[in-house]
Amino acid sequence: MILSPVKKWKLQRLTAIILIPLLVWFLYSFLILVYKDYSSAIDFFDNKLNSILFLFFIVFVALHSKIGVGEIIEDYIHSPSLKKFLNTVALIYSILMPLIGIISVFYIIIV
Amino acid sequence: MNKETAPLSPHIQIYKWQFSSLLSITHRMTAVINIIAFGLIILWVVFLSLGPELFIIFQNFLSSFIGKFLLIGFTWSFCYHLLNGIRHLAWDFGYGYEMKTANISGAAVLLLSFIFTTLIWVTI
Repeated sequence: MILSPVKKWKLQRLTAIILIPLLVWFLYSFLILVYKDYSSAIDFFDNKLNSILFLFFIVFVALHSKIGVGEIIEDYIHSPSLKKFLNTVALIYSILMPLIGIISVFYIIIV
Repeated sequence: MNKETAPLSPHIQIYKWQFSSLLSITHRMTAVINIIAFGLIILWVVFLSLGPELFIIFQNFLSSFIGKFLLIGFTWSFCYHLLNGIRHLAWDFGYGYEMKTANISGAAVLLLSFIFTTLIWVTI
């Protein structure tokens, strides 16, 4: 997906605004789960609202971080071949991570 | 565009370190840390989907000293990036450019990031 710099700038701010409440929700409700038992964690995802919020969270994080990391690479990496390589790594990471997350959440809900 | 003539902003080494630039580079460093934390979150969900035995192994790791250190660090990193991100959004909408305002909001971001991290970990 190739976006113009202006569109990237706008999308970065839009995803940032959306992520404010999602990150507050995540820090507040998700971190509590870390030290609770297995069944509490499963119950968390059996609640549809939690699952939906979590899926939105990971998709927007992936989008926001892909654009952000692209900016960092653009500013600090000067070798064109290394730049291309790092951008490819970032692209794969930003697609693979939410994809694995989505599959795992669906697996938790169904099984 | 010709590489030799393409405009470039000065590299970071030539700038004098200031409170504002320190906060700015921290924003980028926390961005990268958050991306690593994101990987850990996904890994957590993967382990959860694989059943209780594997979930407990992962949880034991998170309960260890290294695990706790990582989680507290990631919490602070998220808090900082969230708060400083709001500061950046205010600038994007044209607010808070005054030198004094920018310094105060920067100090507030730093202070609140530590307060929020403490509050979260005290309630957990």
